[in-house]
Amino acid sequence: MNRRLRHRHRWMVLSLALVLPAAFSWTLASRRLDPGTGQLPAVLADPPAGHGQVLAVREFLLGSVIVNSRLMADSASRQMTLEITPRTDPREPDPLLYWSPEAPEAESGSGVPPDAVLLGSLRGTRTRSFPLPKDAATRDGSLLLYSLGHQSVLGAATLPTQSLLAQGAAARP
Amino acid sequence: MSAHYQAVNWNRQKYIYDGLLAGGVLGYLALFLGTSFLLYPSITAETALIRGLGTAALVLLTLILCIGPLCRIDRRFLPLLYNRRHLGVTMFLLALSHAVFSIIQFHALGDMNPLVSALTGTWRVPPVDRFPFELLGFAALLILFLMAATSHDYWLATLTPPVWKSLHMMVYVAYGLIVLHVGLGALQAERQTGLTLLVGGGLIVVLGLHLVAGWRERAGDGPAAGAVLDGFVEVCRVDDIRENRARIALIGGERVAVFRYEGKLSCVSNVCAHQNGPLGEGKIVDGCITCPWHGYQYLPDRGSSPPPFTERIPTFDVRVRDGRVFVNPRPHPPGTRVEPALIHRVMP
Repeated sequence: MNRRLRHRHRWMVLSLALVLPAAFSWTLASRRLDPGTGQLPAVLADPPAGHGQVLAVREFLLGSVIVNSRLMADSASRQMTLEITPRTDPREPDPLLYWSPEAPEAESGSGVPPDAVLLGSLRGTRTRSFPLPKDAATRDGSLLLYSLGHQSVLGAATLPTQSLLAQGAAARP
Repeated sequence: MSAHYQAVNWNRQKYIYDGLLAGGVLGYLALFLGTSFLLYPSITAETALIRGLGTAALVLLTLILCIGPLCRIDRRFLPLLYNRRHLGVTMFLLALSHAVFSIIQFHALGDMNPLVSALTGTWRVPPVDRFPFELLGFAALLILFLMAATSHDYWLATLTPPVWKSLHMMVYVAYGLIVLHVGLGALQAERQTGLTLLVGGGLIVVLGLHLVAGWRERAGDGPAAGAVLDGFVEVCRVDDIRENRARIALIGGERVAVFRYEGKLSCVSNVCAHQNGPLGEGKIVDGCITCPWHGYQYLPDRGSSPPPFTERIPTFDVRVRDGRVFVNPRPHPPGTRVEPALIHRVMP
């Protein structure tokens, strides 16, 4: 290159060396990252653990994920709680668990019905407890695993809460 | 070889160079996509492809920017320079594909023109994490397009090498815009250690190599400090110049190259007529000064390419006194024959 171009080249590189590292560091320092569920304190990440009588211990398939579950009910308040542990990470974008008053056959593959109630995220394999809606005590329903990323229901399973609650009440002395 | 315009001359070296380039790009994309699907099974193919194309372009741009200073530091990297323009065009195509797929993925599903959506979508919100990083990428893409579109020797000859070189120096602006495009875009949304290292590490390597090469070059722009004899300026001793090589000196504000060959010395401009490459860092091959960048050749005593080629560079008068080399700072018009200085005068 001739001298004029060499000087221009030198000034461009020097300017870049002064400005760009500082600007890039600034972009990194000013990040405001959204916390993932894995980074939340346990008290915020998981709903409070359920308590009361264990009505059923079940293992069932939800989409492609085998889950272990315990259904519990508080005899005084009739509040039902579902404790659930996926054996494997669902590995789907934003997997969400819903309770629906509909039968599971009507749900699979379609969208989430308007009367479904969001229980929470099912990412990972941690055990977590979800309080069920009041309606679960008076009617059987189903669980839906929904991928927010794919916008589709990945799987569904029956959850005969009302039947189990009735059996539990009958079994009590 | 000649800078005279003609269709692309394919040769074995170019086939090998481009074959390695295509294989490298395809291999990188395959590796990136495979690793992405392995580590993130829920990732969609479109997202993986957008990321793969973007990082491939960034890696290639980083490599392109490293080639220049690497060649200044170590001559063994010169073969990489030979076909660098093909790297640049490939990098532009990767960046363009990244942009097109991104616009389709993120901006084509609404009721607004996708391009308008891409360039105005986040403009209204000023905080850092909502900075319109798309604009930075778009500006960089425009520069890269201008460079790719004018990369052929036709434009080099039409625009003239200094103008063409000035235009292609805009690659540094494009690089700065791309670094900020990634920093204010992808790195704002996710904790991607790999991408952070790729951009940050690349930045350190690119700037570090340029600063080292620039520091070593700095001495070359100091004026010749030797004696003056009848208007001729001393540039070095004869013994300082190896056979078929040159000594570069700053004379009259520009660099000249004094070549030693067959017991003679000739001085020409250090600036090649093709891409303004440093002729003094080349050597004499088959009796011709050969540019280290692309192999353009000149007769040392004439400063002109051997027939039928027509490139010419300025020549300078040279004298040898007591083993010292003196050069007249006043250049002859390009292509003017100058009698070489004899290193050892023939005794009568």
